[in-house]
Amino acid sequence: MSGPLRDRLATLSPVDRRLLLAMSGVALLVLLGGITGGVGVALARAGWIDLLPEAGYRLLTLHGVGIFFYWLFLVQAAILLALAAGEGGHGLAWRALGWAGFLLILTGMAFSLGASSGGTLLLYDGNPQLAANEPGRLAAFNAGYILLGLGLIAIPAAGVATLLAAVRRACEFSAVGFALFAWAGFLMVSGFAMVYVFLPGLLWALGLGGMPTSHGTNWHIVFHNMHYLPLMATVVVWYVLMQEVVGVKSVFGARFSKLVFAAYLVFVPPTSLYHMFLEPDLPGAVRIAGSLLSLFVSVPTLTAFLIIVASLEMHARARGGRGLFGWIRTLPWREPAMAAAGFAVVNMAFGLVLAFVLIQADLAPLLSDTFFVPGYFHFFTVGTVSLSFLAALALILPALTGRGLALPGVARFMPHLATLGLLAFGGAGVAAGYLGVPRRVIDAGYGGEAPALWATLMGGVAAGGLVMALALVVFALSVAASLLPGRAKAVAMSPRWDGIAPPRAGAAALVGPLGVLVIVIGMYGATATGFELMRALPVEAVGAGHGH
Amino acid sequence: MTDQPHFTTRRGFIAAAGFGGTALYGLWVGYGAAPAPLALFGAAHSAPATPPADHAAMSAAKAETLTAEAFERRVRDFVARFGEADGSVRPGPYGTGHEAMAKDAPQDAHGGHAPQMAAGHGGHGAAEHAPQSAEDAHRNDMVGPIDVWLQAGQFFFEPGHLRLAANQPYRFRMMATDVAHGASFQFGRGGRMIRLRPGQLVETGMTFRRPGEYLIYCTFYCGAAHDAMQARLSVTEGGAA
Repeated sequence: MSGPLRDRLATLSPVDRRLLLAMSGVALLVLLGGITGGVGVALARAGWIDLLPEAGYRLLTLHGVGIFFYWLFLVQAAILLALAAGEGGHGLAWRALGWAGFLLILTGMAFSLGASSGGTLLLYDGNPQLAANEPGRLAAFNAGYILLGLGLIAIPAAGVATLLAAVRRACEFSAVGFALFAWAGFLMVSGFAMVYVFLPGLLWALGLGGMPTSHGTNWHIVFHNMHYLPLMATVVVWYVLMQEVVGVKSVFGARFSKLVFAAYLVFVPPTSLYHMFLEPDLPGAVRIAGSLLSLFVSVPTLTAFLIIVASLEMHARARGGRGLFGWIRTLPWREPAMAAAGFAVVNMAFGLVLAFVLIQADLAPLLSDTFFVPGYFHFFTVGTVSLSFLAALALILPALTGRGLALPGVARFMPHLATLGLLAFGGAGVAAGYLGVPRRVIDAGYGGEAPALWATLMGGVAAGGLVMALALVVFALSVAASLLPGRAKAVAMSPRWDGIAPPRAGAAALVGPLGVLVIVIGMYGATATGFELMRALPVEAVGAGHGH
Repeated sequence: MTDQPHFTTRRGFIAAAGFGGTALYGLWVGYGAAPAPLALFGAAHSAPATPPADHAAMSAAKAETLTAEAFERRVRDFVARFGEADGSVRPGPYGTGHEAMAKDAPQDAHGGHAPQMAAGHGGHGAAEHAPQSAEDAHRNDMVGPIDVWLQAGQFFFEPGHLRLAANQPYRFRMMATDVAHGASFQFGRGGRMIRLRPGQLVETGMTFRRPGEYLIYCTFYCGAAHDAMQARLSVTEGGAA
C-alpha cells in the first residue's frame, strides 16, 4: 500500500468502480427515503401534521427499515469494499460475489418495503405475533431481511478476499487493513444473525414451523450488535479520514490499534443483556450481571477516541498548535469530511453519556420503551455513525468519479447544523423519556389524559428533527452530486499535514482524557437524574423488574 | 523540558482511560443499584441469605401456570365483584365486594390455595382456582395486599378504570392475553412500566403514596390501535377511593 487512498481508488478498474458507485448511490437514496419517513413521524407526533396512526406507523416502518437495515448496512458494505480495494490498490477480488450480494440486498429491500407498505402493520422488527391473520405478509417481510443477511455474508466475503490478496502482496496487515478484516467479519456475523432471527418467522408463516416464541429475545440480541458494531466501522472511518484529510497516523503504533479493534469482539456482544431488563422472567442475578457487563461496552470506542485525539493533538502541537483547545482550530475544518467526522466525535460523547443510563437494570422500569431510547440513539445513528459514513463517502465518491461535491462550502456547515438539531431532538426526547413519553406511538396524547408537557416536548423533538434531517439531506445531496455526470472535476485535496513531524518530547495530550472525564461526569449526572426521578415517584413497587 | 513522553501520551494511560466509563459503577453502588465490590466478590463464595425481592417475585411469576382463558375468567370475576356504577373498579379485600362475593366465597374457601405476595415470595401455583381464598381475604383484611387483576389485550386494558386507595398495598396480577403488551403507570413526572408477554402471569406489588389521576398505557407496540390502549388509575386517600 502506498500513496493516498484517493489515488489508489482513482486507479480502480471501471467495473470495480461501477459496483462501488451503485452501492453508494442506492445507500444514499435509501437514506433520503428513511429520513422522509422519520420526519413524517416526528411531525405527526408533535401534532404538526394530521396523520392516522396507521399511516404514521407505516412511516415509522419505512424509517426503521430504511435506516437501521438498508442504509446502515449498504453504506457499510460500500465503504468496506472501497477501503479494501484501496488497501491493496489492485481492485476487488471476487467482484461477482460482491455484485451477487448487492443484488440480494436490493431484492431484500424490495421485499421488506413492499411487505410493509400495506396490510398488517408489522413495524420494523417483524413481530410474528402480530401477523397471525396475515402470515404471507410476514413471510415476504422476513424474506427481505433474510436476503439482506445473505447479502451481508456475500459482500464482506468479497472484501475479505480482496484484503487477503493485499496482504499476500504486502506480507503484512496495516492497522486499517486489520480493522477492515474485523469489520468484514462483523458484517458477516450480522448477516448470519439476521438469517437466524428471521428464518423461524418465515418458516412459521409458510406453515413449516411453529410460532417463534423467542423472536423478541433474539431480536434484542441481534439488534444490539447491529447498533454497536457500526461504531467499530465508524472508528475505522475516523482512522482513514485522519490519515487522508489531516495526514496523521496513530502515534501509538499499528499493533495497539489492532488490539483496540479486536476489543470490540470482546466487549460488545456480551453487553446485549440490557435490552432485556424489562422481561418479567429475567432472573435478578442476570440483571445485575447484565448491568455490570454493560459498563464495558464503551471501552473500545473510548480507547480508539483517545488514540485519535491524542495523535491529532500531538501532531498539531508539533506544528505549533497552542493552548488547551487552540490546536483544534488548526485542523482542516473547511473539508466537509473533516467537519462531519469532527462533529461525529462530539455526538458520540452525548450518545455514550445517555447510553449508560439505559444499562442500569433498576432504571429500566422508568426508561425502557420511552422516548429516551430514540432520544439517545439518534446521537449514535445520525450524529456519529451516519455523519461518519457520509464523511467517508465525501472522500471516496469524488475519488472514484473524479467529480467534486456540490456546494462544499455549504456542506461543511451541515454537520454543525445537524448537531444543533440533534441537541434539540435528543434533549427534548431524553427529557420526554425521563417523564414517561412512550416511543413507538404516533399520538401520545391519550385522549387528553397525558400531561400537557408531553406535547411541548414532542414539539421540541419535531423542531430538532427537522433541522437535523435538513442538514443531513443537504450533506447527502452534496455527496451524491459527485455521482452525477457533467459535474465539475473534484478539487485535488491534499492532507493538511503531509509528512511526519516528530511529536515534541514531554508534550501532553490532555483533550482526550478531559473528554473522557466530561463524559463520565455527564454519565453521573444523567444516571443520577434517573435515580432521583425513580425515588420521587409516588409509588413503591416490587417484582416484575422493580427492585424498589 | 524532559525527553520522556508525557504520561498522557503513553499506551498504558490511554488503555486505562478507555475504561473510564466503568467509573459509573461507583454511582450505582451509592444508589444501591449494584453490589459493592466486596459483596460482588463475596457473592461467588456464599449465596445471600435472602434473595432480592425482585428476583423472588420473578420466580413466583414464573411458577404460575394460568392460561390466558383462565386469566380472563379471573378478570371478569374481579370486575363483577368490584365494579362500580360508572364502570370503574374499586378492588377491596374479598369479603367487601358485591353480592357475587357471597355466592363465590364458599368456593374460594375450598379452593385451598394461598397466594403470597407481601415479601414477593413464590410458592403458590394453584391459580386455576378461584381468585382469592377465604384465607387470603382474611390476610387482606389484616395487613396483606389487595389483588388487582389487569388484563392487556388488543387494544384495551380490563378493567379500564381502577380506583385504588393511597398507602394500601396492592398486588397487581397482569397478563397479556393475545400478543405482547406492556403496562406503564404514569405519574406525571415519570412512571413504572412492566413488560407483559402473552400468556405469562406477571405479578407486581405496588403501593401508591399520593392521591391523583394517573394514566396507564401500553408500552409495547401491539398493532394499529396501539396508541389507543390506555386505562385510568384514580388514587384517593386511603379508604375513600
